[in-house]
Amino acid sequence: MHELSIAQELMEIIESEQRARGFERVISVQLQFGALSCVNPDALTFSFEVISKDNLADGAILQIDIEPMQYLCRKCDYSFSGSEEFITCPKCGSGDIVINANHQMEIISMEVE
Amino acid sequence: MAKINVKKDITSRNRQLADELRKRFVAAGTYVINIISSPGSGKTSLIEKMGPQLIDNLSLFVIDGDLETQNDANRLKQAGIPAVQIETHGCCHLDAVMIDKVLVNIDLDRVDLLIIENIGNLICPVGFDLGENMRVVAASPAEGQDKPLKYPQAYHRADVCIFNKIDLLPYIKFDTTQFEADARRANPNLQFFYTSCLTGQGVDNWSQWLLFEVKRHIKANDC
Repeated sequence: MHELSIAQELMEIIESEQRARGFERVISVQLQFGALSCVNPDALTFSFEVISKDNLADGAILQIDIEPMQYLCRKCDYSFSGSEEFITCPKCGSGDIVINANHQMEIISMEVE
Repeated sequence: MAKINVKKDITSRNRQLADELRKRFVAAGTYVINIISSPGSGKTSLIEKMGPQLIDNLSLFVIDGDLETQNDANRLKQAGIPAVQIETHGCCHLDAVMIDKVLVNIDLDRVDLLIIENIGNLICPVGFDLGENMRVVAASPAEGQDKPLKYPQAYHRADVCIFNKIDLLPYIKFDTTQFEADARRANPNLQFFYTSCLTGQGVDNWSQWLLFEVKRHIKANDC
């Protein structure tokens, strides 16, 4: 799985932020992933624990927010979020819906000291 | 304790390298396709069949990705299609770093169409831009009806869907209309092709369309 390479990228961003801002330790990291990003949060957390052992992020908590799947109704232009059970538009009832989510993976913020 | 805003893309390293690859491909006049699918949908067979249909008009090269063996690249070379194998020895996807490394072996200026056959995997390869012009998701009847619903990422981020092994349709309960509708829910703009590498049905349709796209791209970038 590639969560390890994502954890490595995350660690590089954290180290780059440390060089720029000069903090000692990372307490927590706030991450936001789109519904179409192909990441398993548990695997990422485990990989990050391995990568951050004995460094400035050792023990840091990853707070992972995965956006719910977003849909767009092509009949009435209504955007809504939901699970795969949503096969019709909750506004107009049309079945002509498409996925409208993203695959972004961002580090939003960190708590440091 | 302080909270600091970061707002950075975690995938930026692969994305930046992919963008650099994209510029290199444009400078060399090379059109690149990235074929993604589960193992066994017939990616290699498709390349094997389409190669001879394109080779009179385009110079081809294939980068083939697998965990182990040189089997696919060897098979393509035996069919007269130049190919190089990337063996990842466990990595579940190709990324821009791997493509960059293997390009040392390829004279891009002499390649009109670079075909990247990704690792057989409907999940991980989807997240890694390789600098391609066109992304193809391939599928086949024996994989199951509802794959576009179960793996929407793969269909959402593709330009083309090739539904292969249509010679199996008489023997497998499969509704291609529903399959296409499910795939279009993930991506309404998908271009569909139905092919059989066993009978050859539909392969020339796909090859001719691809040839047109490649020529159009070459012409646009020459201007």
